[in-house]
Amino acid sequence: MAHRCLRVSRTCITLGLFLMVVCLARPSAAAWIDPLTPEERQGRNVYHYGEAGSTDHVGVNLQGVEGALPPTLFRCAGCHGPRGEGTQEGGLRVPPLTPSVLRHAREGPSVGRSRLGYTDAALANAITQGLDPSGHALHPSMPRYHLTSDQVAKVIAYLNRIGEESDIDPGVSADAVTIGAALPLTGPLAQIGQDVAATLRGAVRRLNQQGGIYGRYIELIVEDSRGEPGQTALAVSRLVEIHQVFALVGSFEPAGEGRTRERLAQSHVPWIFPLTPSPQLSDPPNSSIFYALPGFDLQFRSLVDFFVSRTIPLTGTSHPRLALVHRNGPSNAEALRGALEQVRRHGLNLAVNYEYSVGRLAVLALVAQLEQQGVDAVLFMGDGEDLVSVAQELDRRGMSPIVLSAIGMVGAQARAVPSGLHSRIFLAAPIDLPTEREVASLRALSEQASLSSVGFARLAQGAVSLLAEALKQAGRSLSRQAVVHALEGCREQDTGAGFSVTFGEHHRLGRVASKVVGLMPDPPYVSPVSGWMVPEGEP
Amino acid sequence: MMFRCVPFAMIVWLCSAHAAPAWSGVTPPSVPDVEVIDQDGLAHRFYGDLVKGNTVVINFIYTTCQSSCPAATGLLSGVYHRLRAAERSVTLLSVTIDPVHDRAARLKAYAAQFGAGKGWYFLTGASADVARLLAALQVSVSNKADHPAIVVIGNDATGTWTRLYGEVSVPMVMDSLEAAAGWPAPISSSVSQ
Repeated sequence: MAHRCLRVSRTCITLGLFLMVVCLARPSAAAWIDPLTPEERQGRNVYHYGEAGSTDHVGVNLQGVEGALPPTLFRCAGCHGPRGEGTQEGGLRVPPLTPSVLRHAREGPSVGRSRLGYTDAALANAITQGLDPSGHALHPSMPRYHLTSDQVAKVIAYLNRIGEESDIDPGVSADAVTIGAALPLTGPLAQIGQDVAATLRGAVRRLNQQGGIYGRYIELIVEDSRGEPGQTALAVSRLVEIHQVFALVGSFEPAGEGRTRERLAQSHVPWIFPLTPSPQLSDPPNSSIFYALPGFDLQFRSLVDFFVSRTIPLTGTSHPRLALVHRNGPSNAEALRGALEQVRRHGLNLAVNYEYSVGRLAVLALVAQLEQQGVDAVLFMGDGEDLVSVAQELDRRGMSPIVLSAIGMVGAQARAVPSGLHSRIFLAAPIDLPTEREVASLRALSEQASLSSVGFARLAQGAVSLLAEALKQAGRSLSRQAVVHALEGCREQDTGAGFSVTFGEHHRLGRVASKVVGLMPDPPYVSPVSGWMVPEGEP
Repeated sequence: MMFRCVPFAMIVWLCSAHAAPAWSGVTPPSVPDVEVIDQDGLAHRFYGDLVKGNTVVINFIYTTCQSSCPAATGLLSGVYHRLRAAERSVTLLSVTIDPVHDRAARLKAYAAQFGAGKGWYFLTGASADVARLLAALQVSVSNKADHPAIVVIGNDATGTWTRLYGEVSVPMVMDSLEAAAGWPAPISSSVSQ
């Protein structure tokens, strides 16, 4: 006994030293200690996700069908419930698997067929042969699983702990929930990353000052993504696999980065508000990723709808000639797709389609072409600098077509267009611009004198606030699935950051509508000219 | 009053603990000829193109269902592979009860997970059309999660129709198919499980 105590204390000292080192290296780092043994944790992964690790495959045999069936669709938790409580769906009544039920004999017609209590050997038979302890075949909907004896032992080890307090997802302990964010703390986007990190820390600090959620404090770990796709994937994998975070909030997701999403889908880590201008929505959706705002595709669709609703007052003709001017690149490709979809939907006349690469915009040739084609309106997909060059040349030639773009593309630089064209420029905005008071409160929250990206800071603030709400909804007995379920229940949920979101079982985009704003010469420089517009064709 | 609202089929189903064929040999109310869309996005007339003159197996699913639908579709997958091995021409129809969300692309991804190929259609359509189909086949769906696990087996040419409920196994479907199709030699025993 004394020997054991000595070993424990030595472990504690080693652990303490390790923690000190970690704390010195990374002040925000916290170590989550798994209450399950590694074997039980691996058994839990098989039970919950149908995954036996990255290399081992779980085979499913349902009614003699071999090989073809996907183990993720026949994961134990799907039918027996996340806490082994049993379920009933579609006339299929699935028994609970908690030790108190499994290990005892079942008798009498009121509970179905009688059977003996399950021993470990009987459980192995049930999992791999589809037989109950009395040798009867289980319900035909119960697959037979092809697992190694080692894997079966792990599942059984987990079944001894299922539904207990220790049966928890990574990142959750009795008094803390660990969350993470991958942000560009170094590299060209470092200033934005630092500001977002400061905002997240401020929001988490405020939450903890209010006592946390159900007695649990929130611990935030930030990993440096350096603003590159490959490094972002690595940072996310460090957060999920080493730090074992429960969820991600306001983390960077560079455009076109699919690996990060795949990794998260495998780990079922909820991710609230990835910081991206281009939400990567799929059908069926990646169930754990919750985006905040519409991407450029939806924004440009709303913009085209707006133009169509005001064609005559804006252009003086009911058959305007349109030009598409787009810089190539992934986020512009989405804008282009959205714009073209809506141009087709409304049967608009596309007179010019001009594509250019970064730094290759031939302003004079472009504007000459617009003049020659008698263009009434330009759909512009490029940055603010390019917009200003085009506007200056339009102004010099005395041309004043309507110019339609997105505030997230052209940014504050749009203010530099010649004042004569201000009333001709309309920009889609996925979120109300922040009031001065909101900006001041964000600065106070992040303890920063100025913020390089108020938009991202707001998303970060909203992400923490929404996570807090979901944690409250999910209850003290916390799981990733419960948080995802709580997020799915959000209807016009205020994020505390100047916008609200709505999600659902099939909806992973918090907002679909955009507003259109016009330019003004004086502060606040923009003013809404439309209400919230859901693009035509969206349900 | 509540009790009177429960359709007869539901009562049969609620009372049957184990699989039991019901309205065996009875022609169901006429199968509506509504337009449906398969997993490849192709439109079909449900009766005219898929059921008329054929032997069919019909079940009801939705792709976000957790437990009973994978099991029910897995069952059909078993039937499908047995039929292919025996070179029997039977059309399998898996109809979504959530046509709003289960569009063709999603059904295609789902179908692929079960190894579905030629002769196995995953069908969606306009909500009203799918509702008509469910009503005609006497499948009562008050809400998605409560839909009964029913397999409908029919031979349109002979007008032989069977419904299976509850603990349905592949051999049971094969036996019902044999009876419905009037195949000369039993095939359920000729293919080893």
